[in-house]
Amino acid sequence: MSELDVLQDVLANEHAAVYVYGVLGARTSESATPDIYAALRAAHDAHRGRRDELTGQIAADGATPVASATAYEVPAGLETADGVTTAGLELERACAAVYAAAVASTTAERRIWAVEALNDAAVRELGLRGTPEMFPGAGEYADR
Amino acid sequence: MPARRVSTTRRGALGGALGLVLLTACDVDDLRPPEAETTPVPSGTPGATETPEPDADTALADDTAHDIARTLVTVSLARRSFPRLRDRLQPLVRMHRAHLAVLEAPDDRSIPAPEAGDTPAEALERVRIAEQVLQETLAAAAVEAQSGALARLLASMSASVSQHLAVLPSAPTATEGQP
Repeated sequence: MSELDVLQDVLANEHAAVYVYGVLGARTSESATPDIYAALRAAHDAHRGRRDELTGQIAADGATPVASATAYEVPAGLETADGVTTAGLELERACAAVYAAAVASTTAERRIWAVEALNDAAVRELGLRGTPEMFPGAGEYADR
Repeated sequence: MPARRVSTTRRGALGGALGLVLLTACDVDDLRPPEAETTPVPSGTPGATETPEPDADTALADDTAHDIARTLVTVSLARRSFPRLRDRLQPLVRMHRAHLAVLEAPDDRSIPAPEAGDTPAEALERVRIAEQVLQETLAAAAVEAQSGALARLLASMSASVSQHLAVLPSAPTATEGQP
């Protein structure tokens, strides 16, 4: 898989993250759960920014950035604030795993980008009631 | 993309055993003063066994393990000097030990004993600075690694330090502020 293919995969994931965070935000009451609302809003904005960065990088390489799908599968259990928060946390953890995989498959500036994205995602998990992990994005090491 | 593990071809049972020795040496009750540290044998010393040059990633992993061990010593000293910080800093100890265990890096280099600070707040600030430096070191090492698997592991470690830093209090609570 080329580095460009890796970036396309990460971009596809960003499209999904932006979509799902939008849904999660719409299911959250800003007045009833301001902290969670703010965390979801911040995550949505962050992934939109990452999406735009990747789109620019891929286009600069002369390729066509992968397009967003019309819709994405939304997790179940969004009837409660806890359910929405859990969905957000799981989404961010999945994004961290994607960034970690990108670290392994890229070099130089692209790897720097992936390392920063992984660190950002890991810290963002904490705003979604996550707790510090030993190996964000690479959980299999925690089982050793 | 499938998850991959860092190669441990050079690090067999002996490497793992040495790693355990390192962890024991970094325990809170076993912080040796600098003069008691083992002194590495220079490669040019008569009688020293000639060993092949380690590859770049092996050297990087060993250097990184040394940096983690050094940070662990700072954390351990703060916990030992100010018992009220023990619980608060315990997650950092667990994290560093988990990272060292995965790296399996034998590290016989000496670690200068740091100063804990005069107050819990000062000790906490020293720990924070040490962790910030380590986070940046791990991120830089991830970029430098030749192997994608090692890069991923080091990047994950840097993210773990970022998380732990994010929940580290900026100052001790009123009760923690007393020795």
